[in-house]
Amino acid sequence: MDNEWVCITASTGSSQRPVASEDWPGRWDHLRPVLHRPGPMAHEGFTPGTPTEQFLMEQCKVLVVGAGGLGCEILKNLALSGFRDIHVIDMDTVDVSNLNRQFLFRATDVGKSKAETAAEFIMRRVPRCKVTPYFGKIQDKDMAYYAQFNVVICGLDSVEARRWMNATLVQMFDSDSPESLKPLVDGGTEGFRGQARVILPTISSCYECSMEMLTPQTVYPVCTIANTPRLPEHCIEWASTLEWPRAFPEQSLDTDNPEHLQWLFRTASERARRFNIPGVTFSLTQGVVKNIIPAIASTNAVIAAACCNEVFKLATSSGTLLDNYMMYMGNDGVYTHTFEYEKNPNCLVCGQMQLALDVHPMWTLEEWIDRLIADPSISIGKPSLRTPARSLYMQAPRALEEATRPNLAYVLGELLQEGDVVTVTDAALPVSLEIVVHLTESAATAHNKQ
Amino acid sequence: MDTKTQRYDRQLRLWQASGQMALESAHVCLVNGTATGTEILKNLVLPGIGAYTVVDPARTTGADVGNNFFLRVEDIGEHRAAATCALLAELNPDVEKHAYATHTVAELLAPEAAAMFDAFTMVVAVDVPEADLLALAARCWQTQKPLVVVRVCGFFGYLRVVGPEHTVVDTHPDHMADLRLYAPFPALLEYAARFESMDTMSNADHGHVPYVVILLKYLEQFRMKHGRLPGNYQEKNELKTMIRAGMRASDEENFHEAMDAVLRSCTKPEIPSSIQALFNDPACEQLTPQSSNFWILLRAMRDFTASSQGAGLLPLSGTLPDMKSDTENYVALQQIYRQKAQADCHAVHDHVRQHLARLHLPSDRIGDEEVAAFCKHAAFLQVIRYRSLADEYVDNPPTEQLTNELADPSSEAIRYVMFRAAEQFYEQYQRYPGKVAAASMQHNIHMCISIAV
Repeated sequence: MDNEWVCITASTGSSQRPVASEDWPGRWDHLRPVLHRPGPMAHEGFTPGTPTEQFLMEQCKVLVVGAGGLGCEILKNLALSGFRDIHVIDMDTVDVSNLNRQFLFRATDVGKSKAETAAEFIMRRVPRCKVTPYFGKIQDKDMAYYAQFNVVICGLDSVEARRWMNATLVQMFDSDSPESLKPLVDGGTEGFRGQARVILPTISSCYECSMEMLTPQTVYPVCTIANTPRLPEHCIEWASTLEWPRAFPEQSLDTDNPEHLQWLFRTASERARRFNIPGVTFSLTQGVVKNIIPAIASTNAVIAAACCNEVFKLATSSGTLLDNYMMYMGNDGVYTHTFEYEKNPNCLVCGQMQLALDVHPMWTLEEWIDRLIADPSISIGKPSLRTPARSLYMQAPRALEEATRPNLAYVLGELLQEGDVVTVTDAALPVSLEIVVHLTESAATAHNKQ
Repeated sequence: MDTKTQRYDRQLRLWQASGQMALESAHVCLVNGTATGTEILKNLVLPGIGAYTVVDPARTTGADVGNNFFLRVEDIGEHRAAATCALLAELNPDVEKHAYATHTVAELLAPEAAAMFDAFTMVVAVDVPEADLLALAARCWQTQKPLVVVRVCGFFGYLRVVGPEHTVVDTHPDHMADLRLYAPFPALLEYAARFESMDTMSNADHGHVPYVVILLKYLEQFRMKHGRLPGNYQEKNELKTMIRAGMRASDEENFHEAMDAVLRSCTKPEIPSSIQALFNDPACEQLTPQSSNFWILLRAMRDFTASSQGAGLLPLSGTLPDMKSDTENYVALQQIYRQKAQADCHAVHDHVRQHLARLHLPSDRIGDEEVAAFCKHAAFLQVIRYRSLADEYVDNPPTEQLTNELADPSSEAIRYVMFRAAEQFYEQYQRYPGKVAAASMQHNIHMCISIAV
């Protein structure tokens, strides 16, 4: 990729006044050799000296998305690296199970906003670093808000939030205005493994380009859950997806409610006993219904450090950037792999805006929707489909759903013409997807994963 | 659920109660409370390490507070060991045993400090100059304590583990199932025989025959036809074709599962070469009363494989992957594998008792659970042995290998050489290169290069 683009440093050497003169003696001694000396590893555009330090400490504005395991580490690292205008967004509150790694929180903080608590802690511990919290969703903010930052760094545990953040930053890029390019540094961890990547919207591959790399979530077939359970997980799924709605038709399941979890555990245990299936525990019940992913402090520290180094290099050009994906595996020794994840020309967000798909004229609309859901490169759950002329199937509102439901049984040959453009919208999709339909009898072979 | 289980939930799902117990029995000594040093301890205190001690003679400077999250401005001038120890302790009230000492490395290794040193189960040494490091490493080597050597410089870092032999039983392998398809044991054959009437079953029943049974059936057909079981890729493909021909409908999931499992599960069971190598290790050949449980168990397992019950194979892991089946048949099959695994485990335990008796060790030294865990992971056991630091740095430095590597300009070996050169520089000048005004940097660089050469 072309590194000319990624130099976000303001190169105007204004005053020669030493930055942060009010700091205690020696405060930046560890940082200054990197900022004030040339080096063989530095980026070509690197200008050692005061302007670079000034940009870092006085101008650069960073957004941290997520104040969880990675977020706490990221905030600490950025604050100690000289960033002094940091914003942080998180919609969550502190839970007891966060305390094994989210070191900015204490037992007395349980129930409080993560973003606010983390910001307060950092400002208390690291003098003159300003952290501005927002306790809410990333979707609450508009492009004007995101435009104020020089770089965005994500430490999230949700695919959906990442897709949204990525799509927003890609859409914000305007080739006529270089400052509209907002680099996105993204980290993720799972147990002893993790990854860090640098996304330069429209220049390098984006998060959406690699959707098909995600391991699909385990889905147990309904008939197994209902009729032939074999694993403790099957019994737990039975309790949560089939028995709960039957027993409490008026109340939706709240997986954070201990009484609900106890009920699920008891119900799943009973079923397991009846079928002679060992292994249903409270911990497993909780793990299955909340889809819990193991998380530890050390992996978060490794990944957050990698991400923050990239943000630091973006802000100062003091080193060459990660190009563009690093995988870390700490489960069996220490192993890392760095590679360039290439742009996906069919990417729904940064690639061509339309996707050409073969469809069989004899597929019913319902069958086609099932196939779209099963396609990992699209990754949708409950799509609504329409053509410019009519709604094919809409999930909501209810009246429209009922009106379009009969279409599900029609075959595509009756509903669509060759070359029709079908617009797909879905809660999981950060953008609407346009599919150009090619009706062909040979479509079955292209998409026959069932 | 108690608060401790709640607090540690996300890590217990990774290393279970056994891993947590091991962590809680560790006492880590950190030499030097630098930013990197406190980060290491932070990541151990949070999950609940048993105890930690910070050993550091330094007084906190303004530069320390600038990059270390576990120091505050008011700590400037105070002992760095005391300040970091206290702020780290706030991270986890369950870690009650923490201490600090303002010893230098020499004082830490002196006889007066022996009681303190002996309590450590491992040592992490951050940015310790080479002469001190070698002395510390020698003591750790002699007392069999693992030592983790860490150095940091700008965007670069150095990490080296030195330790006594490290044996791992629970290696958390991704796939543990061993279906024994090429050497089915009697109970498994009996079970498979229950499905002899497969061809006349209803479609529903046919679609629920566990794939293990399907594979056994077609393996037998293959053997009837060729006089042996499939060996190479081509033969396995032929087996797949035979299975496909037996399907009643193209969407019979159990048959698809059977075909998918051919390459992975249709193999001649044998003892992996890594385990065979351990069997031939002198530590396994010559047990002594000082042998660790690992080697006694390994020897017992070797005896088992040589016995008639073992028949040249490792004890069965006993795990069965999920597969399309009705509940009753699946649970029964699971039982069959589990019972065979238990029987193997009992036999290994008998050998363990014999060895313990021969070595005049108490017979309850190795319990049921330990034997079971060992047998379950039989194919995945690991032994890691390290070189001493003295061997690498002084006695047998890898000079020739480094010279060859350095001929390649893209080689990473240059970073190793530079870290080592910086240490030599320190030994000569009592300061690290680069810790001076920019003007004399060029001179520093030349000195480092001459040292490296």
